[in-house]
Amino acid sequence: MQAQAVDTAPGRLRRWLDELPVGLAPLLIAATGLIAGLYLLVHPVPGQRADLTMWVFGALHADAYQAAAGSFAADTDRTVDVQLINYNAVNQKLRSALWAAVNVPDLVEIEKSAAGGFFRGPLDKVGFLDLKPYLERDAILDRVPAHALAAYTDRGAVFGVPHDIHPVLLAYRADIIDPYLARRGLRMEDLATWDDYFRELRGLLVPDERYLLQIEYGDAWAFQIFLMQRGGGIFGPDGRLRMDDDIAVATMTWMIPLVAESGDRKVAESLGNWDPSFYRGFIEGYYIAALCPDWRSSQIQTFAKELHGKLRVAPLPAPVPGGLRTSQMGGTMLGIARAAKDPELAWRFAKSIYYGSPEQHGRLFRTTNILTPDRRAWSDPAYHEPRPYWSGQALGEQFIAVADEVPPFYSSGFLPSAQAKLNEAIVSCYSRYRSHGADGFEAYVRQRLTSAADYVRRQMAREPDWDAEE
Amino acid sequence: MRRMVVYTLLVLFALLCLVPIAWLAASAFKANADFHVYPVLPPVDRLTLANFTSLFTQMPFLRFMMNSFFVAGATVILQLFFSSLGGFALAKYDFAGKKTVMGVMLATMMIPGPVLLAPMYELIYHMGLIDSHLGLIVPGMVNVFGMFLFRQSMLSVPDEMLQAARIDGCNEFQIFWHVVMPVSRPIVGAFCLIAFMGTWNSFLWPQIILQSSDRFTLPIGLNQMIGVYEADYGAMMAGTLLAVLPVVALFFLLQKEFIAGLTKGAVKG
Repeated sequence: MQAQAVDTAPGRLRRWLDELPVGLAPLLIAATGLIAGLYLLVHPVPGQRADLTMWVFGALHADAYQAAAGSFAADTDRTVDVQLINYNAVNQKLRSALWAAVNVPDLVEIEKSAAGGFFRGPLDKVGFLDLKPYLERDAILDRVPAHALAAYTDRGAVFGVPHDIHPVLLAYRADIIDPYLARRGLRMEDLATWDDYFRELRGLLVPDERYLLQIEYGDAWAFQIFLMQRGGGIFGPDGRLRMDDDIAVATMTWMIPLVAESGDRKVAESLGNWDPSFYRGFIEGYYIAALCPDWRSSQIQTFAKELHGKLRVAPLPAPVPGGLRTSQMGGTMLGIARAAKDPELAWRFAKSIYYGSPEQHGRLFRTTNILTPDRRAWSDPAYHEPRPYWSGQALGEQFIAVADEVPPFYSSGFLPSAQAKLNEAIVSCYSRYRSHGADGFEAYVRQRLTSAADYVRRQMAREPDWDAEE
Repeated sequence: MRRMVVYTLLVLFALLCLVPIAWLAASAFKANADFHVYPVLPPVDRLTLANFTSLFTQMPFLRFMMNSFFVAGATVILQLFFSSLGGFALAKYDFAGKKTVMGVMLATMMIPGPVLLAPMYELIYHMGLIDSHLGLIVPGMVNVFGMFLFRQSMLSVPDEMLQAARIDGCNEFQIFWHVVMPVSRPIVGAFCLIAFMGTWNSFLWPQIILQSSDRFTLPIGLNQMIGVYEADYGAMMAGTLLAVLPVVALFFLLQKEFIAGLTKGAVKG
């Protein structure tokens, strides 16, 4: 009787828990799972079946296309399900879908450096439709700079249409540079070559406190911009690897000393390309200029608000007098899957979002600063309005001015591998210059690039000759 | 004196380990405009709850959380059931081909996951489980690592106990449930926590299988905030902070069982 009197509810629970063969852990986990399951049961996911499915990896793109899908549905009575998928996952997911030949989206956006990987294999087995006939039929080819299609063209077929062309300009601290140059009777636009740039601004250089340019030597990002500006590239138009040609050697031999020299001979530095410290360095004037594709100008606006009214853009100084004053970096394509249920309908939607009204592109430019390759849209006022953040410059006009000169970028299925080897070569050249200086540097660069390129060539040699198989 | 030095070093090391967590927590309360301006913490009057508010207003964060709890809960319980049963069979029964079965199981652990993505994707598609939580739960129901963990633990259960239970009239499942599992409780706790963390943080497979945002688990939902041209760092940090909390809470609730499981057999009794 006495024992029963002290057998309280907590006591019973404790005993029951003690006697439970599996203990507390599964009980707790099962309880949370059960509660969540009940929640999901009373909040079911609404089913939807659309006429077209589209995968997109950029949130801003997804928002814009969802809005466009609404208008498209009103005009055509056909629906489009725009699905936002993380940038890193979209390629993996698409590859799985294409390999397994199941659940392939009708339309998909792919980042430029990954695009080439999807064009491998016999032409008629590539997972995307050749859009060239569509572009020709609807007279769109004339509206798009030819270089914009280069990355998505393989063996004559155009497997993707470009969302952007991403010209590169120089974003610089106008509050620091312009008054300095003005005192010397110069303007930024007068600095026609990189030699001019570093020479005329040398007075602003303070070792360990202020550098003239932001260059991240640890990845190939800046190197590729300089390489393309000099007319080089990782791959050529014929798919040939050219990352160790004379232009690449000259670019590396020129670029590395900018960051690897010591004392006041070092003119460039970086605190990172993609992390908060990049913006911090720009805000604090640790570097006073940065390579700036159109999309990066939007990131700078968002994350370096303190620089409002202090920045301007200018054409890139050229490698040599009369040389190219721009380059390009990044890009996105839109492809239509060969397995699309209704390719014509998919093309209609693709056309409506990529080659729609100028106002539509103008809206995108106001939000993202991204320049469309559709020349017809460049007349929209959005590209010509002054931007207070950029010291009142009409940002769109600056990018449009160099848009047709943007060098072509050639894609390849081996691009990620080549970029990885290029990164290794850059880091290695940097270390070599730090330890040995200019002595024998060019020979070292050539040997290092050749070795990296040979590695990629060996991989490429294992690729079957698709055209011969056909 | 020596003890003081050791403790000081340990405290310093613990503080060092906590730096990323502290940075995460501080960042969760920073406005986006301050994110790159104040590397550590902005002045108190600039701290904001806006990131947490936007998590629940700009995106279906509660839904992501519920999806994660459901998937993790169901997967762990099923994994526990099947892995412990498998471990029991491997530890306590002799059958033809047992060594081969174990060899094949070991071999499957050595195959890199990404290699299996395409065939798995096709299989799950043909099972009609694409874009469903079952597509996450079903492939995760059995865990080879868990089976080996339980096998090793159950090897130490004396066969005489099983014989005694048989003589008392227990069937084989009753022996498993009433005799073997209670002895394996410490391992159950450790396994549950490890499996829960694994499922809770799982990214690649859910990213491939799930398509409707209403079915996204937390890691997938949070990852949507990282765009190519933009990223909502503040909301991401707030979301990550909230996503970490259930695992931390579970660890504190179960730490006795977890540590007992990991140290089982370490001290000879």
